[in-house]
Amino acid sequence: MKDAQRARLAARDTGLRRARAMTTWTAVGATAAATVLSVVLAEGSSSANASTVPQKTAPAAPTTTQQPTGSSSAAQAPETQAPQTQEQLQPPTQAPQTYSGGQSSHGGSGGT
Amino acid sequence: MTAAPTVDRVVFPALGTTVNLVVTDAGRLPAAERVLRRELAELDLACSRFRDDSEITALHTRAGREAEVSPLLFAALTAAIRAARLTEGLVDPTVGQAVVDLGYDRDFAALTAVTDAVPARPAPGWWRITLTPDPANGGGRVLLPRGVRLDLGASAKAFAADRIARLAYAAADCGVLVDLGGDIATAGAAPESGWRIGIAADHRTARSEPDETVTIVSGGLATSSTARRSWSRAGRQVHHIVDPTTGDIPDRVWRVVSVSAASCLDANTASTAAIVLGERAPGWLARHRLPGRLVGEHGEVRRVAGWPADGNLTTTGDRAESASAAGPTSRATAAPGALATTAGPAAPDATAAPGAPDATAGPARPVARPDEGELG
Repeated sequence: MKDAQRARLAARDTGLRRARAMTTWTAVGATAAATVLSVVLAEGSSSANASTVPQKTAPAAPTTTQQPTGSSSAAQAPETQAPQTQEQLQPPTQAPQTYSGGQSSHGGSGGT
Repeated sequence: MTAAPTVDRVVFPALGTTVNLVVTDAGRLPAAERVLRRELAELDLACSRFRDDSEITALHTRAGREAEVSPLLFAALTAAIRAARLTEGLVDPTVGQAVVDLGYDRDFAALTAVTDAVPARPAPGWWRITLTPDPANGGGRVLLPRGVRLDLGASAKAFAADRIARLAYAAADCGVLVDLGGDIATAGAAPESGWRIGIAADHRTARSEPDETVTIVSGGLATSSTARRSWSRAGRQVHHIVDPTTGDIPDRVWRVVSVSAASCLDANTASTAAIVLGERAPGWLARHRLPGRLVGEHGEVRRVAGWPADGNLTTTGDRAESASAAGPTSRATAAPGALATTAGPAAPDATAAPGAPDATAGPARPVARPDEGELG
């Protein structure tokens, strides 16, 4: 691996660690805020109908940078993050087959 | 009694290449063609970096600030970032400046030799792009850091082929093949014997003068090549496929790589990644169970993960050539179709696994030119 490649990978990893740290702290902050808010509201409306008491909910996602595309700098709260899947490039349901019948092709695949 | 539907096609230039639409029911061609032309126009307006009025050009001018983009550009960017993520950055949309530095700064037809040399710089990295979807309109906002220039050339055409095939199928309700300069997507039921795809280094001759022909029944097939879109820069020949880690062209190992996948986007992502990977490409394709055909700089052919042998090597009666060129481990002389369904779980590196269906089959050679215009 070339030095430039190593440096680039290191920069990427640093960026990803920074994004994960930000995600964690954002989630912690959001969780704390939600907990305080729910306690305050619950005490303030203890005589209210149960349906008006806020449910304990997952903290809201950060206001920006929700990235369903999977970019690793996504700053979603862990509770709202989609489960990690082992997404991969998808192979065909059936491999190409040899053709030697002599009829013309429907399509042509080559460099553009 | 009604006649059986016949295959029909329309071919025209667009996006700086050749567009080819095939349907399994000739009567449905106009409906499919309307979708094709509409989508191509919208794609060009959204993604062309050579148009001053394109959305992606506007996005570059707003780098550093979040910008609202159309659902189409948002989807194209999402596809590009997915490709980058699944290849761990081998295919990266932030190579735009690197491609420009190599001299590819205008429509390829207008490109001339470049004499000055700009030092290659690594691409900034796809992870710097922030996409925020807007469920209300299907689009979203994009935050492109300053200095990041996008090039969707490695994914937009394949993304479009998949999208158009899907939409055209919905409109025409018959089997559809969309071929955007060699990036091929299919939808609906294939013709009885499958979609016949000619493979060659140059998409302009792939259909009429293929090096070999295969059939697929669904999904996509794409070819990446360093033989086309190449130009001279500061005394050396360069091309449009950039290694994001260096910002320069990758080591010259493969001249042409064709891959079959569940979608054209995945096929094109893999074929581009294979060019960048160089010698590690056969093993990488095999691990991903992506059938591939790789042509080396000197014409040697390797087939991995179930890509079939060239049927013409046996049917043309030229066994001696195929056997001698293929070497002792080649299966190029196996009966046609013998390897056709062997995709299964591939060996970690099919090129090294005894009995693996990849064979170094020697230089590919053209087969007899089929009758043009004969379809179905």
